Amino acid sequence: MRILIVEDNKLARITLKGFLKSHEIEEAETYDEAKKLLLSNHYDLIFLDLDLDFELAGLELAKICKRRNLYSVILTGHEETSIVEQGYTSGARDYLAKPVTQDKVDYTLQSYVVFDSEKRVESLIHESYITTHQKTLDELNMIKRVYLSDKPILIKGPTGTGKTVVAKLIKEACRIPDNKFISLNCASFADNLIESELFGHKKGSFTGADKDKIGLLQKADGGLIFLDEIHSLSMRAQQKLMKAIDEKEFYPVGSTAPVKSNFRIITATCENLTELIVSKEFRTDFYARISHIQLQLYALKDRPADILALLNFYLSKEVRKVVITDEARDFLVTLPFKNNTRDIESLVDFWTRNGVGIVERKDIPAQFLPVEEKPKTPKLTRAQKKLICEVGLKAYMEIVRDEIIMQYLEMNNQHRLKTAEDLGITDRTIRYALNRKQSKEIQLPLEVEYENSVH
Amino acid sequence: MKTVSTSLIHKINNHLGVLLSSVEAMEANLHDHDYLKEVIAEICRKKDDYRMIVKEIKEKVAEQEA
Repeated sequence: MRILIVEDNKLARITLKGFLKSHEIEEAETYDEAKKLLLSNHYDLIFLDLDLDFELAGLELAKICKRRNLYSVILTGHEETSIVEQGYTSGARDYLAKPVTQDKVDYTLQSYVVFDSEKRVESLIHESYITTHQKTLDELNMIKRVYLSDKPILIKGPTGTGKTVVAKLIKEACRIPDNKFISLNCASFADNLIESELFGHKKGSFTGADKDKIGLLQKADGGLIFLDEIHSLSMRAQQKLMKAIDEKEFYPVGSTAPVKSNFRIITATCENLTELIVSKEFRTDFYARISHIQLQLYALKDRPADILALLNFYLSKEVRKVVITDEARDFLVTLPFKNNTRDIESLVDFWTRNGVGIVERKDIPAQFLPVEEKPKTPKLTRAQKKLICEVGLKAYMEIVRDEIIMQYLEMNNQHRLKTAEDLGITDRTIRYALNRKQSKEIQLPLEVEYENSVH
Repeated sequence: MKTVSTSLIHKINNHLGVLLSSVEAMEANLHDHDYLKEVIAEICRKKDDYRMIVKEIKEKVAEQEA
């Protein structure tokens, strides 16, 4: 750490320096000397004597530290609370009552380390998760308080709200190396395979187990295991995992020898686990084990202000510049974005792939529009349904295609090349359609009813 | 019982406090001879200040006894 000691009493200065031997120390004796150093250098920590060449000069220097976002500690022989209060008001983060001792200095350094770690985690939060939504920020800020605990964390939130991002954020906050961060989506494995993945197995324990396998819980020893979609875990696997969380010990499939592993667990779900407990699809006791600390993430519909921030973030990653018109912006913040951030990413990807330079309202694909604004799709009539049953879907599609071709031919006065151009097909396709028409003469029931495709 | 003045108490507190802290710092850095020399030199430089305080205490005590 780079530390500045501002103290006019040389013996006191040297003494403090003696308690801070493992750090890089700089010294200042007067207000002017200290001010000059503070304005031109960065220090992790600054000890400020209260009275220098004029009374309470330390408070003035504390104000400079505050402006420069530096961590200052007031050194004071004054024991009055009002002086300490003035120190805090001026921007000091801590105070150290004289006479200075090694214990007091160590305590001050510890407080600084905690403050510095919180600051680091706060930057990680801002770098990893884009939001201005206060409730989300409150949840994320909880990480600053809990990341050092080894208690399980449950991240709850709809799909695409960044549960994996938050798990990785906690991993970064805990300084867990990449090879000790094990991530698994529980929904990707069948019930019989998930146990083998988590706990490992012995050779010959089941068909296909041709060699010993180390489970992910063992790989996460000394690290962090992140289990996404935890609601997909079978009741049996939940019970086994619960025991492993409690005892930090488990048996690989087919083994009688227990394996020890000191892992920390983070789980995530987009389901309401309480409802699953009621429907007996999730164990209450397992829920109690994994939900010591809970973090709730919110859907974009609850934080519409984040929609534009996320769009700007993904657009800034693209080489090609895309501009969104004001009208499109106003409309975008009203959209539901059911898959949350994933939808925003897909939307930006769609614009980029399709070479959209200026995004207007019409450039927002139907899949992102609210249900009531979706283009209407035809509903099959009874006659059409009957025909499909009679001839099969493939033949029906052929009939529909031929009928469209016939209608276009009629519109174009039987001009085949013009029809081919209009429909983007070849003349040959038209000829085949005409031949089929002549040979089959099946009448397509053309009346269609229209209604919304989604109910 | 009469007491010595507040300013004298402050002086004693300050000087004796720093002196005691410096002894603790020396104890923590016994292997660092350069550091020990620096602290001792400073204490020696301040010995007149300490003498003055002792003198002041004696005067106050004499004053009170009289």
